[in-house]
Amino acid sequence: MTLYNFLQQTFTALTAKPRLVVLLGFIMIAVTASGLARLVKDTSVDAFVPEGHPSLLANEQTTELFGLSEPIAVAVFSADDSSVFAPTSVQVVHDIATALGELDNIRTDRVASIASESSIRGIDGFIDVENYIDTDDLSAAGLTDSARRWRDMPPHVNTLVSADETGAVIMAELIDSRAAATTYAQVQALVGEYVSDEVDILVAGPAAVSGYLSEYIDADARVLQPVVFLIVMLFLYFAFMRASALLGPIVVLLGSAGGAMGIMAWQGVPYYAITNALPVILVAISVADAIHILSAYFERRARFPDSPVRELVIDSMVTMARPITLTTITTMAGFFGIAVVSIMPPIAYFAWYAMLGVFLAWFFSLIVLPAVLVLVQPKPSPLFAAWGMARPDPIAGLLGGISKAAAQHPAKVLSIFVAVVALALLGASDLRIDRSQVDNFAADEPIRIADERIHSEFAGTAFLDVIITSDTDEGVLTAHRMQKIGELQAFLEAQEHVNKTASIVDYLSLLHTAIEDRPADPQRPLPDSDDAIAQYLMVYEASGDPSDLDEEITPDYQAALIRGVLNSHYFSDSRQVVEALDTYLQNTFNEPGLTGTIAGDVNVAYHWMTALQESHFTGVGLSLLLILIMSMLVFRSPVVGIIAVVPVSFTVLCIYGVMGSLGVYLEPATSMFAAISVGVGVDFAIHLVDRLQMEKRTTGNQILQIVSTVVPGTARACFFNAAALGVGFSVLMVSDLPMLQRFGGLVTVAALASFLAALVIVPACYALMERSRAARPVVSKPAQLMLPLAVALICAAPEARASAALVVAATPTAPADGLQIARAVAERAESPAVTRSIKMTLTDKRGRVRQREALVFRQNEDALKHTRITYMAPKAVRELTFLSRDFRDHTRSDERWLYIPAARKVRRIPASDRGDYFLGTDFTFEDMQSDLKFDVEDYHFTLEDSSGTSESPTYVISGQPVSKKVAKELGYGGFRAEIDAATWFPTKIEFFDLKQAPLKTIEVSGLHQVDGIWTPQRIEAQHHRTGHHTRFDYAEIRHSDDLPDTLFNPPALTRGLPKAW
Amino acid sequence: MLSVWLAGKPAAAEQWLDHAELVAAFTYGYATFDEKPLTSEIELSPSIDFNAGTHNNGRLSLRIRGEERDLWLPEEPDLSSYSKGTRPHTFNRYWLAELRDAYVDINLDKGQLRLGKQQIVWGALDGIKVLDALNPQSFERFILEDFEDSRIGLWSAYLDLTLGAWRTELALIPDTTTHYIPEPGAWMAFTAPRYRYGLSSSGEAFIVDRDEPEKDNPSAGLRISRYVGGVDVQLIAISGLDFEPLGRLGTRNGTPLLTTYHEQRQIYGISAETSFSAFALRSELSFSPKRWFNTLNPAALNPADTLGAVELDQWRGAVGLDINAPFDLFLNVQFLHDEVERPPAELVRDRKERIFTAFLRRSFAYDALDVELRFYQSLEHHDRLLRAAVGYELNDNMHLKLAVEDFKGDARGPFGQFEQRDQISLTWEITL
Repeated sequence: MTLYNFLQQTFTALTAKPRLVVLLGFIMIAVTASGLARLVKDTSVDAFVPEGHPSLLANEQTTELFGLSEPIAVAVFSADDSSVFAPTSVQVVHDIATALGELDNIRTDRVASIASESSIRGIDGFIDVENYIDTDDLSAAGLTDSARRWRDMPPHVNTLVSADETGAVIMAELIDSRAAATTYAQVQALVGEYVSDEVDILVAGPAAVSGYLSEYIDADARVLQPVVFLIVMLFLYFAFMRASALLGPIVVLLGSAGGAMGIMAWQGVPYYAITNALPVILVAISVADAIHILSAYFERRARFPDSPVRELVIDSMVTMARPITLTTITTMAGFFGIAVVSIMPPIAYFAWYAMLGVFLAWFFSLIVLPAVLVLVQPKPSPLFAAWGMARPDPIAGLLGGISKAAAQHPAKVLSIFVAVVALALLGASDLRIDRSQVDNFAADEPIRIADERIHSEFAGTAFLDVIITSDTDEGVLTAHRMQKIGELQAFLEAQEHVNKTASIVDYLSLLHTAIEDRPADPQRPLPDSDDAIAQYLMVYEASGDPSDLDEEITPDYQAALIRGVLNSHYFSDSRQVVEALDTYLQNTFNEPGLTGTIAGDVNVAYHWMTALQESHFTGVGLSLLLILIMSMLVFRSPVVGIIAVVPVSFTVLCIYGVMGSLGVYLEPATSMFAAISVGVGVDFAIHLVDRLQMEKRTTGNQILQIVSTVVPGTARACFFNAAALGVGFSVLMVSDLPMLQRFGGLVTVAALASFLAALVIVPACYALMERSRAARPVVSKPAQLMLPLAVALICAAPEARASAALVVAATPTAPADGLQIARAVAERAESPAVTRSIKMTLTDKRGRVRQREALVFRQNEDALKHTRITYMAPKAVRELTFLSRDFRDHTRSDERWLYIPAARKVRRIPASDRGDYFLGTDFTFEDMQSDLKFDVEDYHFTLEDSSGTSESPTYVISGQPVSKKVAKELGYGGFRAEIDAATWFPTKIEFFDLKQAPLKTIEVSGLHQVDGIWTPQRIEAQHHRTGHHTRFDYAEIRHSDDLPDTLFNPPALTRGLPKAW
Repeated sequence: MLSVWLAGKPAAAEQWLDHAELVAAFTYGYATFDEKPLTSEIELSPSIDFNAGTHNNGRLSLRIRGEERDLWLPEEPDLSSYSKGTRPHTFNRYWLAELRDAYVDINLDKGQLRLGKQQIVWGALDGIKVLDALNPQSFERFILEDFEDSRIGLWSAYLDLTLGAWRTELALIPDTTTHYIPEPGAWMAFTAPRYRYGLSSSGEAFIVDRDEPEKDNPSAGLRISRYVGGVDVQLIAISGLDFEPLGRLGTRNGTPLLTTYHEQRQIYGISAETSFSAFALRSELSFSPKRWFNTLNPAALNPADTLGAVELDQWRGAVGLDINAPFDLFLNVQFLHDEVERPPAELVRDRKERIFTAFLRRSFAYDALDVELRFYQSLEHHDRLLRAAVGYELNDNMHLKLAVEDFKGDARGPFGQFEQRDQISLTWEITL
């Protein structure tokens, strides 16, 4: 069975019970989409790093050893730029800090501000550790003292209070960062109560950003999804101008987007920030499949308005199944490239579930959509009226014109192509990879404003930590190691964007200068002896709160922490710092027994952005490679495979170039545009290449002619496909999330550009190939002479005509006399029922002979034909019986049964194609069923010759299948038959295959009349390809009006033949 | 030779003898797991179809098997699961003869009455038995031979009538033969506890005894079928002996005694079969109310209570799909779901037993060469059987077949228990 026949039968079956198929489709949607109720969100930065990654483990170690976790930062600024060491500001800071500590998700002991922290100073050789603020004494003198003490505490300058004293910050750490969204909302509500004319209050910090982002996504999703849906539906309506055309695509997109997201939720995969784009992508992709099918369907309805809708749907599906399957595979390959290369779970999951969604879109498009079309039977709008006259509509005409122009001027296209590639490469060289969490928010968003102000007024909220661990208790408590920590701090502070560092060394240095009664020194002087270091700490613990230093050193003095504060969240800014720090640790700091490990959010971001940098181009390359391999395999040509991939590669390169030129950087969201664009953008080229290849193969026409014929229809569908993608992705541009805006914009441009590139580059490449071949001096003179003849023959080939008939218009060309002869053969007299014994002699090319004997019973009825064949010999197959009911209505499946005596039961078997070979002979089922009569609906007939006498003429007619579809069904590309007009039996039929090569020859002999009916005694078939020969010798022929029903009763086959036979 | 004899048969014989045939098959087997020759075997199957008067006819067929090693039925096999009239005859440890068919067909105006030893095959699926339950089966070779070869013909009466669009079949079976389960030591002996009453194969030795089924309670079956809107529908009711044995424990002279016995069972079922274009779809559903199953309680105080039995409702359903796939491939997939309702924890069998099967075939050289791949998978135990076979028609009367069987998986599963029984066999079959 050929693929074509398989598809034909499959879609015939699928459209037989459309209600059931649609119902099953909805059940499937309901089951999968019901998982959406279980959806959970995870919008944290950490989610982008795989579980167990060293950078995450380092952060966990920071929390475990030093109790540090993600903070929310509340900044209180004096409204008139005066010092915050004023009663109102200090009271507000105190009150907010106290209230924050009472929130459920805030660690009460981890709320730091000037209201909770203390200063260290030396007074007459003693250490005085004193709170900055005494709320019982907010006098001007007291606050002045507080400000002075604060200025003498370098670790707190620019952290607790800004350097210019106009702002104070409260850092409140969260218990559970996953509940950041709720906490952020509570903090926002809380601070609202304290805003006044005297103070401005802003909320930012990593936890706040994470929490707000989560809210953002929620709001975004609520708006985006319905908007995408409505806009795409609106677009679909405008594409086909029929509301009834929308139902099928709705089912497909529900199945695809609902199914993929639902299964994702069922599997417990969280909804990451980037997941917001998934349903949008799936809606766009699934509608694209539906557009191609609907276009094919409406085109056929316009051309053949009187044909049954089901047949048109089946034909549309058979035609579109292959390209849609191919584009599905290539799109999945695009996502596969991302999935296997990305180490970031959100992106990898995105890609896997996008693959699933694309697969579901394919499944629903091929399985459910045809059933919906059969049920709804949408009529084509006037837009398609021109197709009925074999003329494309204006859009198709315009697109076809562009393509034709490209094919006419391939050299110019190539020149422009090379120039643009050069420019794109130039621009792409400036492309950078970057990201900042706050870039997820619009420039006027309060949280972004707050974050930027805190960054500018304070040291910052981007933390880069170094965990210093020794291998023994009190291992860091030596003068040498403290000195090293101080040097490391100094190194870190020397790096650009590092505003501040803090460690235990700051406190020891303060104690040292206080005890020694020395002036404050930014060089962090430390005592020389180990004992002094230990004693200083003891002094501090005796003077202040012993837990004050928990963030700087562990109680066993085995580990210490340096916290670096950066004034930028951008990867491009922090990258140099992390790399320099890592080099310093490896080369200078680490020593036996002492190790420095980098931690902090900056480090986490550095690692996943580095991974992105490494994986992005690998992923795109892999996607392109997979698609290239697929295309090469499918089209069985490396050159054609490359042509299919060139347009999208060109587009992606151009977009890299534009991004580089405009300073748009690659980040996790935008980085995905390339692989997605490769996956979806290649579809256009695949559709075009597929159609061009098929037309080229079947007609052998020049490329210009082929482009004129096939491009308008295909390009129109591709245009609406690209437009649907563009519309779908452009909806992302109205998202509140800038990263999605950028992503949507890039993919929109990529989709449209890929389409245009395919429309121009593919025909130009074909034209170039054609010119290149024509220029080759390899054809010998005789061959040159033969070439025009061959072209003419190919153009005149039945398939070419059939193809033209299908594509351009149904214009029967058979002369009437050929048709009349075929009708006379078809109307040859036959009896209502016939019985005969048949001896089959099968001879293979080596001369090996096998023989079968059988009894054949046939009964003709108006609507169907019963046939029973019971084998009598050889013994191994004796009584094996084949029974068939062949319906004259071709849309109804034939029914077949097989009785195997050894198994002692009758088995229902699937129907075979008309072109399948019958039980190991050289006759097809059609040959057997038709009794060598030609179905006048299958062929266009031509009278080739006539000879013989006027009383007994012999005609030679030829037949070409009316369409490629019929040709594939029959397995014949045409025939040439000699007809004996006396009996209206063909005495010799030469069949040709689909490429017009001789396939087999059937000869009929021994024609004689039995019961007044002309009956052959022998029919032979010689298969030219296999060398196999089949001969049927008939005997005991009996014509009658009727045969017993039991002969054709399937269950009764077990009883064997009635005794009369 | 039979054909020589037939060629010279007297004229009178021609009148009653309709057809005579002898199939001789020579098989060489090799155990791939053990890497040693398995067996060499000869199987002779003579049969005749005869006329009995003007309207009636009949059939007699025998099967004689001789093997080089005493492998399939080692030593003197216990054939007590067969009734006396059905039991095969053993000549010695290596040769065994069995009457496969011995029946007369009385052709009626509306159908046929068949009397004698015969196989009655109901149901629609292949290699899965849901409603094909009128004849027991020999598991001497597990499921490696076709059901028509392993199904045991019974002495019975079978009436098959066509009444308009309806077909009615009635079977009456006094024969009390049950499944033949190979004994421990046989090549394909069951070792999984599920098929050994829950007892482990390495447990203590038992004396095994068998309670004879009651002879005065014949089995009966009724099938009504018709073609409805393109679908072949069958309704089936069967009442009779449960071919699957139950076990109970006791002692005899101080030695543990395992007694096997059989209960009655009823089966009510429906099957439907249809085809649409390149597909044929088959389905069967059966319900057996209060069927008996073994339970096992190893902690029972009284050893005799270790093995019990319980009545449970059982549902069995199966679907199968034939596909004429592209590239001339024929694909058949089937799924069986067998479930008992509200089972006690001590039930020996699993509450659910599900099996998936797949069969792929491609013919070459004008059907002279067949390549087949057969796959069975138990979903409960994740064990499977993979069978690949290549058949070649040397000429009209000679056929060669090379088959490879590979078992794998959990030894408690129906297929995994034979993991050490992987084999390869070459059969040369001649039809005369």
